[in-house]
Amino acid sequence: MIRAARLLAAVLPLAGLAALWAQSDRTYHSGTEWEVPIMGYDPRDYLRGHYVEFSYDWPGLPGSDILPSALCLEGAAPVIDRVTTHAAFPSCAHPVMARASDIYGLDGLFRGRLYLGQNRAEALQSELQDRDQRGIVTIRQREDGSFTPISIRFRPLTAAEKAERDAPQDVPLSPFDPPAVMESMR
Amino acid sequence: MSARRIAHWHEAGIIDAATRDRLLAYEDAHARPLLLWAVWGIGALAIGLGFVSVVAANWENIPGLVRLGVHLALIAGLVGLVFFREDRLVEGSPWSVEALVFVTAALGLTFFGHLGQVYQTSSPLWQPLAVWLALFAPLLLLTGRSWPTALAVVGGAVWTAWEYASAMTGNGVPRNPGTFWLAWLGAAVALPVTLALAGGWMRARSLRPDFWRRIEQLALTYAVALASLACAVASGGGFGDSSLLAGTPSLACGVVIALAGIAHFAVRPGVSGQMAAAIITEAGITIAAAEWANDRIVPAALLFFVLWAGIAAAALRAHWRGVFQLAVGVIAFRLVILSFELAADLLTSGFGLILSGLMILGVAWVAVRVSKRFAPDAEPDT
Repeated sequence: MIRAARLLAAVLPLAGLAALWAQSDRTYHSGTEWEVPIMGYDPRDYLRGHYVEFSYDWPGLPGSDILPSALCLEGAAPVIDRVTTHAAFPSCAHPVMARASDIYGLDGLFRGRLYLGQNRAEALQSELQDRDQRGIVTIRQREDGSFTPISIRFRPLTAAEKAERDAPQDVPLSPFDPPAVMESMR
Repeated sequence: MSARRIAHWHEAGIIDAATRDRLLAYEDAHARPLLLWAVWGIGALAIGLGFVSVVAANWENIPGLVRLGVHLALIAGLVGLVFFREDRLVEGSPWSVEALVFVTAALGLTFFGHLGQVYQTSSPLWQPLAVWLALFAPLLLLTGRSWPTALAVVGGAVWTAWEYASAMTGNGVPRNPGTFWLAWLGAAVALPVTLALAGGWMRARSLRPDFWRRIEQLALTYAVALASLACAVASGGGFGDSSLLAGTPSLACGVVIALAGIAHFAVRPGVSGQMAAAIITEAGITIAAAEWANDRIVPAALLFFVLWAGIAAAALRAHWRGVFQLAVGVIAFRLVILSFELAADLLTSGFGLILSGLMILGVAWVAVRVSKRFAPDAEPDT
């Protein structure tokens, strides 16, 4: 009996790790690829390896203080035309959802991370600092609403985006205007 | 080196030829060529570090599948070595198996991080920790021989329990504020203490009593640490600050530990076992009672004194010399802190400073006297 127990104790970790590996591999390679613009990058270097942390900038999501925990992607993959907050399962073909068990918890639709090698992280750092570029993260979205970021790339800003970015600086500040904070609350 | 000395002593007429030869024979048999070992060690370390840095520099050029494959093969090789060669390795040195098993378990834990890196998966830390514990605890429990593997088991359980409890109460707010849920979280934090039962039960029955003794000791230490922590939190008025530090979870935690302590009385007969059971039970009661003393200086200190006086009494009874001295030292230290808690303004005047200094010296003197006068003779069985 002790022989059987020893054999089980030796096989269990190997079988368990191998099963986890197989499951991770299968999950990673399944799903539809979508491209999501990102902003606010933060390269990190933890024990778990180099990774870059970013915020998703979902197209068409109205700015609001309330963070939805589910979104519906609309468009033809990989291009997202817009997202809506009506992500009820039967009606939405491509839902993405934040899960409480994810590393960012219910913030999972707003922040994400992508593991990178050291050299790639260094190369990326300079690209991240370039204000004339837009970061795009490719995610694999699955039918159950789970998704995994799989790669990051950059494209130059379009003229319209540049104009939008530079616009507020052209407005002269008047001492008689209400403070900017109140302006935005109106 | 010693051979020349011995020859000198013989020439000086201190030892005769027979003694010299016996001394030389003894030195030969017990030679410890430290310098040679050091050179070997440095060489091995340099090769190891070089290997690690070569792999690290080319990390991303190695495909993920290859990396994971090598990692898993390494674990498989070590597990195979332990499985097929354990008896032979133990004959050489029990520590070699201990080190092998520990390294295998550590490699297993890093495999989870490695998977996350290759497949961009992320999950709260308690999940991989719990899976790791489930996969590797049988191996550790069946082949562990000393404290490193015992520490891996008990430490892994404690780490998992705390990660779980804090993940479930993110930012101090529980996912589910129900009483039952809070009680469950408190019980989960207490669960690693039940390993003491396994240790106490197995140490008389297993061929590896040292391992099970360490398991029991570590679990008991965790119970005492939790109880001391509860007293410290009560002393600082911390109960109610977050959902985990509140009445229901601490009561549940204390009750589970006290029940484990009561069961321990039955599990391990003998003075040492009964005293260990008494300490665990007492720690559980202290945790359950800690909220009662919240933000009250004297009751919180009293609770702490009762806990550690009980430990000192148990140590006296079971002849644990080191534990007794530790308990006396801890009580003396807490007394000094209590004096400052009660009269914080002592520190603001010169006279007060002198007074508090004298008091600290007095407490230290009494503690040393008590420790020397009453400390029991050490017994090998702790």
